[in-house]
Amino acid sequence: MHDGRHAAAAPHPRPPATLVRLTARVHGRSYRFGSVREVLGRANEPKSGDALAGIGARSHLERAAAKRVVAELTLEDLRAHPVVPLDDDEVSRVIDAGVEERTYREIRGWSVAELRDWLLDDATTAEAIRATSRGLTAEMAAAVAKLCSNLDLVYGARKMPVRTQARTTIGLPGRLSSRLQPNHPADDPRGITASIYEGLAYGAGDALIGINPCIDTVENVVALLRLTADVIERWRIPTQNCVLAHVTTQMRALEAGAPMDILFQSLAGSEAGNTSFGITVTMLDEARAMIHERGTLRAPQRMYFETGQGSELSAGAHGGADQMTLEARCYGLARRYDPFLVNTVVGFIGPEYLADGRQIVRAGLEDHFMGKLLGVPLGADACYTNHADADQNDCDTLATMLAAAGCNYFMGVPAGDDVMLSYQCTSYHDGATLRQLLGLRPAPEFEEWLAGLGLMQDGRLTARAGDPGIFTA
Amino acid sequence: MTTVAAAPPSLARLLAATPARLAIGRAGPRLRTKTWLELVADHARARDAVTSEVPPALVRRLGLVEIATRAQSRQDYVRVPALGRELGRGALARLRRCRHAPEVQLALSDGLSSAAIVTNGATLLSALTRELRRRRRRLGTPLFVRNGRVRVQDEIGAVLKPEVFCLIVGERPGLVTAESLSAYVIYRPSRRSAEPDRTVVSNIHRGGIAPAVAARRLADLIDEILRRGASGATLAAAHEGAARETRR
Repeated sequence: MHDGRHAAAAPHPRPPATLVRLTARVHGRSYRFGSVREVLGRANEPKSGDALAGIGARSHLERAAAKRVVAELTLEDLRAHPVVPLDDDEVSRVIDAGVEERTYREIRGWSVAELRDWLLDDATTAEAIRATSRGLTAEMAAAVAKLCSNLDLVYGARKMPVRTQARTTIGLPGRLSSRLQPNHPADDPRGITASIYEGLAYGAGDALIGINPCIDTVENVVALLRLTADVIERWRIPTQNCVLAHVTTQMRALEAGAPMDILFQSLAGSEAGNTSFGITVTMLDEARAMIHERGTLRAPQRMYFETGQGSELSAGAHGGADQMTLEARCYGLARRYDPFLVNTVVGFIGPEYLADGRQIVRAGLEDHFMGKLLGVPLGADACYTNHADADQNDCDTLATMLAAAGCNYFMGVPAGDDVMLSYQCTSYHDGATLRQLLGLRPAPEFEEWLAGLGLMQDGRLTARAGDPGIFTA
Repeated sequence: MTTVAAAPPSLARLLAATPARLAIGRAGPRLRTKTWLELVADHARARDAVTSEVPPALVRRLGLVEIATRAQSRQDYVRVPALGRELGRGALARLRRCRHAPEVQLALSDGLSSAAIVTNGATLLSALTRELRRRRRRLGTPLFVRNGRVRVQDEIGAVLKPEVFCLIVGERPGLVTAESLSAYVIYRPSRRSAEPDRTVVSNIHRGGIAPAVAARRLADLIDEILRRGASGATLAAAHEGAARETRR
């Protein structure tokens, strides 16, 4: 822990303390908020997690007033008041130290309203947004998203493509990729292989073949990495493998010589949240060094992170901050590692934090927008559990909107039913459908491979596609 | 519409090894009607398992004393976890009429699946009761905790003071099964107990660990917990220590 503090403690110029205006009058009623952190929470669209933490708006009008206050905050106000103080939290320090000062100086006087209008302006290009991104902190990205409608979040994110490169190129405009997720309730290698073949037959797997292991042991992780590496090699598939065990288990697997392309970890947006995940910045730094030294992939980007609103509150590690701002801080932390893939597992957390389909859809759009604005290659696990008031229709809605927003990738799971994690997300069929619906194609290297097998022609599935038997014949 | 031809033996062997829905064909890029309607039905079963109540008649038929938590509806229960961990109105008075300081306290709770209790709860409870009686364990008054979360075990334990408490709870339903139970077993529960103090046996249903098998496994576990005076992480550590001794 103390090493983490040291690793993240770069000197940061403190902005001058300014008097922040925290009051607004809406329809004849005056509202006053106690702090930047408080007003950021009250400005959120309704979320059961914010209500559970007692930090969401207590009336519709209070929410409207909070949004007005947020709109008038300057970017300097937000940098000066991170939702968890720098002295208490290494995530805050990592994000602050990562700000590009020259870029920040140009924009620090902007209000959040001006930032929103600038992002959406016809004259503002993707390149301009990309250049500005390094001057932003997570709190700024969260604040501007709080002023956006769902369609603003879709349209705005579309202007922020983030491209990454491994054996495949992910995030190119006009492309939609998928992580093939062939999970099995007992990690049976034959069952996993069957799910991989089915996914490939639908054109899934260009972002990753990534297994959530049921058994988090070094031996099992090594075995699953070998299994996936063998399939990739035998069929010469332009993709990469990953087994989503705890980072420490993966590091032991690397030491044992396992063929690992991409190294995974779940992130939280506060130091206390990461402590509950059993990770520190120092540990992640060591993991990155190790995957670059011992990994099988020859590419600059070799890390994969998953996040999701509510995990900090679930661990009692939110420190009074709202789940959406904490989520943006996960992306701020992810930025340090130049990851290949990052996705929110938006509906997995459960109804205590996102009660229903409406809240899950909203959070998914927020997460994708905030991540892209911070320059992180966001994909999404559009999903829900069976104790949330949501169903596959909500998953369809979110995935369609995110595909229109330029989301880098979705999960691909047989019929959308994950038989290991017992939740539902997007199916192999959904990935293929969204591509054909919106004229999107797989990663170029993977499209060529699919065409070579006769599974895809001109970006559409052929009659041969959808039969896993082609890989066993 | 594309259906997948009868799988060749090499593929059939792979497909047989997973409950995932594979070789299901497609209608254009979409699921075929049959697959879609199966998913709709499985999700409906899972949702009903979460939102429906365990019938009071079943609780009476099993001879259980019903204990309320502060969650007064299934919706409260799902949205506010703290409510399901605390004792509700009248619970304390009822507990005080139950047998005090038994050797083994048994309880069922709906948790996230009332269907799991209705389908497998009764079978598991009666098999476990028989097994423990055969081993001459002194049992407490069996309970049903409505809208209960695992940590309510500590609240009840603080009042009844059993040596061992086995709480059988409905798991969050999936599409493959909505009827799975978990048993949380703890030695001398109290308000100071934490998650690592519990030993968990999960995946108890007809397609997983069958209730009759689970009953024997739980009775063995309870024997061991009583013998060692520990459960959860402490019990696991004692195990490792014993394994090292044996190797020497």
